[in-house]
Amino acid sequence: MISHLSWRTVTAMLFIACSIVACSKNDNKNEIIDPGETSTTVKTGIYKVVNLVADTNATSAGNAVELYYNLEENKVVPASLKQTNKWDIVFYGIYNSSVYPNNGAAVGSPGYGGPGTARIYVVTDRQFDAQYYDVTNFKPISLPIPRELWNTAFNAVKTVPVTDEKMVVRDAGLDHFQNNFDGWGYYDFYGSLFPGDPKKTHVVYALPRVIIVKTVKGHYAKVIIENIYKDNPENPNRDNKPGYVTFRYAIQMDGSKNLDIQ
Amino acid sequence: MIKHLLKIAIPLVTISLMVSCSGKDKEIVDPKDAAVMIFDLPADTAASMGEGVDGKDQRQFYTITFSFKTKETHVIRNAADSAKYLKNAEWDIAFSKEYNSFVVVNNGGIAGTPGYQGPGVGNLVIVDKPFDQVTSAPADTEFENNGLAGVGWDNGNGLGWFFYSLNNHICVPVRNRTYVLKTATGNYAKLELLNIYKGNPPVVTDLFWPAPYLTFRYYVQTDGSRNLKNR
Repeated sequence: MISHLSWRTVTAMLFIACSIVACSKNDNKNEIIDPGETSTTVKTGIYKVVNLVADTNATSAGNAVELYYNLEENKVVPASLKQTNKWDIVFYGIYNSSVYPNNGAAVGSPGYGGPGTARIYVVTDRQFDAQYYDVTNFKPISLPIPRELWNTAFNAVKTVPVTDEKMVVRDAGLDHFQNNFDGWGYYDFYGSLFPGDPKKTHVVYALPRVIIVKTVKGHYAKVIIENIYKDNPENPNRDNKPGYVTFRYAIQMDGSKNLDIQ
Repeated sequence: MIKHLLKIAIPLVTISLMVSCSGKDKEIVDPKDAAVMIFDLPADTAASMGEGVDGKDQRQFYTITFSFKTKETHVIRNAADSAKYLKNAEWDIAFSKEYNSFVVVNNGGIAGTPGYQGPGVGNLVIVDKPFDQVTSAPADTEFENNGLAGVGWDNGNGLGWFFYSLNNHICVPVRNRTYVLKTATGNYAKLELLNIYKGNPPVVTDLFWPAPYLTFRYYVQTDGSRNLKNR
């Protein structure tokens, strides 16, 4: 009897595992873009990417399937091309929360050892941050953070504020989570902003912060992430589905550092 | 003959007793090695990340400070403790955040860290070499360009002291990685972070293995030079 029960459990688990595999296969199929297709380069301008399907099966229980993006062609690039110069940034790690540039020197990233030369830089302005963020203890003052701050932050970046050497090859990730780096998102590990609400632990909140990207081809872009949950909820919780990245970017194709793009 | 043995045996027993007693401060110094080993320093063992862990409160972990020179520790429970113990150069590293696993230097200029607005001049750079093979501190430019406030979870970027899979919630220290520090007062030191689990077990598979008990090894060069040879 006991073994019968266990067998049923095993079968059920296998069935669940198979359906997960099946789902993720379908998702991948939709994402794969034939690398041989003619590439179209975008014009200088602002582009918005909504509910980009990263790893929708992601939980806080491990690294998500990474998602490669080519900003100059405004498209997803298959993982098989991770060691090429066909992508600029990757959404990597837990909840796809580490944004790495495609840089051969970026230890620990998928582009490590490859030909990429992209770099990134998280723009922080503590005076601006003070509107939504405790600049001493590094956490949001209250949630949700007003949406208009994303527009303000995005528009405020009119040029590349640093030299290329000051741009980094490591990731822009979770803000001050086990590190001392400014990041694009706040990870409320304990649910400390909403005490007693179990649906608020392990939630990632985007912050209105611009990430400057120098693409592999040497053009400059500014990227702002709005959400990693489906349909861009203002105040996400554990019921929201992670793995749907919504972001906006402006790219300058004339080779200059002018990011005052309308 | 037997009498002689007994005479020797008695002092030997006494010595072993003393050794076991001194095991209380969790410190053993190999005579050939000028480095200091700290075993099982209890950090905030009463806090827990999740609910319903026996005997633990679900709350944020109290920060623990540690002085390389005196081996003194302080637990920072509240604002009064912060005022009393943080804004001075009498501690060199602190164990903070989740499971006291974020090891941070004492630097008055880095917001969000325990030493903020104090006199500490601490800094830290990662050297991917075994502890004994790190024989001198890197140049100032290395500290300026790659200095970190602290090290914790290595999410793959190479900038932490442990790997942590959210699949099993177990912390696995990175081997052959050494942290070269500037102490609170600006001396050079090196630090090896060995474990967060009690007894310094080589492998942990049990999520509820007693933690955080920190085992680490360090060497401070007190003459102001960059020489970090500990043997």
